[in-house]
Amino acid sequence: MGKTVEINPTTRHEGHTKLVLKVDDDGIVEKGNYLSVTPVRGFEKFLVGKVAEFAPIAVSRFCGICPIAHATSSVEAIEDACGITPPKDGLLLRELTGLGNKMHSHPLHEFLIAPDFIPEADRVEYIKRIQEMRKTGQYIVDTIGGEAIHAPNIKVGGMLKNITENAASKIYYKCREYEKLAKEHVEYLIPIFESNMLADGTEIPEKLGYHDFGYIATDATYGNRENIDQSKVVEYTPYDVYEKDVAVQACTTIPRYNGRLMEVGPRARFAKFHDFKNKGAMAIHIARAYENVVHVKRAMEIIDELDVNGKTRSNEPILGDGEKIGLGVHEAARGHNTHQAAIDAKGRITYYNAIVATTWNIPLIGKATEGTHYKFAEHVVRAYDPCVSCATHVIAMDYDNKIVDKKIIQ
Amino acid sequence: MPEYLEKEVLVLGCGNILFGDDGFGYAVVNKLNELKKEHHILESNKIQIIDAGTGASHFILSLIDEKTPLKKIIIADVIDYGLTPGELKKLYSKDLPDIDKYHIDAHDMPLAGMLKDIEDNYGVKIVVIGCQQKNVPAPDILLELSDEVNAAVDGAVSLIIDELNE
Repeated sequence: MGKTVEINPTTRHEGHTKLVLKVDDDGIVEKGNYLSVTPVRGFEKFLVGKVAEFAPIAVSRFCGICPIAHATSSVEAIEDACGITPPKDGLLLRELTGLGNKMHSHPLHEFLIAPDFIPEADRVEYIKRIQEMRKTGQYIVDTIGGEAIHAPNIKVGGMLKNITENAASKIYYKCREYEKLAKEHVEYLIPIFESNMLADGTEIPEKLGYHDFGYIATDATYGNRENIDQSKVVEYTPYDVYEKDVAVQACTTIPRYNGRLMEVGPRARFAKFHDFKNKGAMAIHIARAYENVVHVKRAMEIIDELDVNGKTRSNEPILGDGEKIGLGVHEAARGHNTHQAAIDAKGRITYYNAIVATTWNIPLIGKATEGTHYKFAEHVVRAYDPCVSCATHVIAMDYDNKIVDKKIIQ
Repeated sequence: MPEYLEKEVLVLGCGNILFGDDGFGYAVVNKLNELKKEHHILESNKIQIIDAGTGASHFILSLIDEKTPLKKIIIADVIDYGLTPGELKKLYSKDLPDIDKYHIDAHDMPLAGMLKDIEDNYGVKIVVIGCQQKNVPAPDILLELSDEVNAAVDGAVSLIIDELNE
């Protein structure tokens, strides 16, 4: 007759989520739901009326993992709304800060999946390599962003200041080291993921995590609003998509592009920009491991292109017409991350909306668990590296308009 | 290695400015930055002051190892010890709660356990300048500190400067 299996909480990723799986008598998932149960934040509402420059400061606090990605999407959205074009060197430095964030974040995720895939005997060496990589990623964020976590140098109009020649060469040197480690990492990890085998010898079903939805990625390493038609993006509520008993527990929207669910993240970028055709959960891990190399190569290219004496910030006023909704797109570690803002003639925010990377992936993760045994569902979740706090921004209400957030918070 | 790990002392303002008194650490960091001209110790190359928000655990603390020259970490944060709101309390590693390690998610790494490990394993002295909270409304947003906690910022700053001069 089948039954419902709940895995709550799912572990070793950011945020609080659970899986609600309808499975058949053999334990095969027939209907997979992956739900954020992280409490609601309400950024979009409280930013309205605040000055535009406050947005990147506030959204850096969506969660503790991706402050750089959100600050970047935010300043890009405000610039688009106000018709501001940052100078080339400012954009290069901003991209480099974002790369530092990803060069830290991907290895952090690879640390979190170590218990699943890395044989005990290899773990110390594996984690030492990850720690070295994370230090370099953080060095870049610290040096260019101006602070380790909430980078104050990311400003509307560009970056607050340029870096010194000395800092540029230090970053380049550290990137050379990182590149070596990232290549070692690829050589070590790819055979593991391709073997479809967990560290304890369990065989992973070949089609684990397969789906037939689309991919969104606007740039290989940074983000480009020209490469997406935002008018085709529609956000649905959980009630539009899930069954009532499931929807009441969910606190994210479900965005679709042209009516279709879309995957974002390392594999989406690889599918768009590197002709990568592999499918399934292991393919995401593979793309992520390769991306460490892509990121560091681009970081070194940027150092080559950068003029350390160049202007980094535009002086154009941060004023809009209150109507035009600016779009900021950034390729965060977990994928296509968009913020939208409208700014009025006094420089205040009249509209704000964020559709962050994991918002796209959440409904897809549930679908991608379908067709295999439920005991593998957590490996599908972890492959996507969900970062849930920032994805959470609707309040669930029942049909009597009663807010059920208390149930979510407990 | 990030430059802040090459220092002798880290001052971390922890917490989230969006949740009322949880923004105490951020307010303390801002004040310390404002006072750099008055108190030259704050400008010392050996000291780094960081608005650590909710990311201290993995952006800073999890990167510390035997190669890190750090001697001391001073943390400004709210506490909930049932004291009078705004009351300050200096806590050392031994005063921090012993909590079981767990690995629910990357965001909620248990700070107390990490801090104890850092002191035990790498000899970095841990000092927490805790301020009794009055109102942390999470998940609801509140951008202001309560009057009591706001009034405690200067006191916390003095405690930190004393600690730096030690």
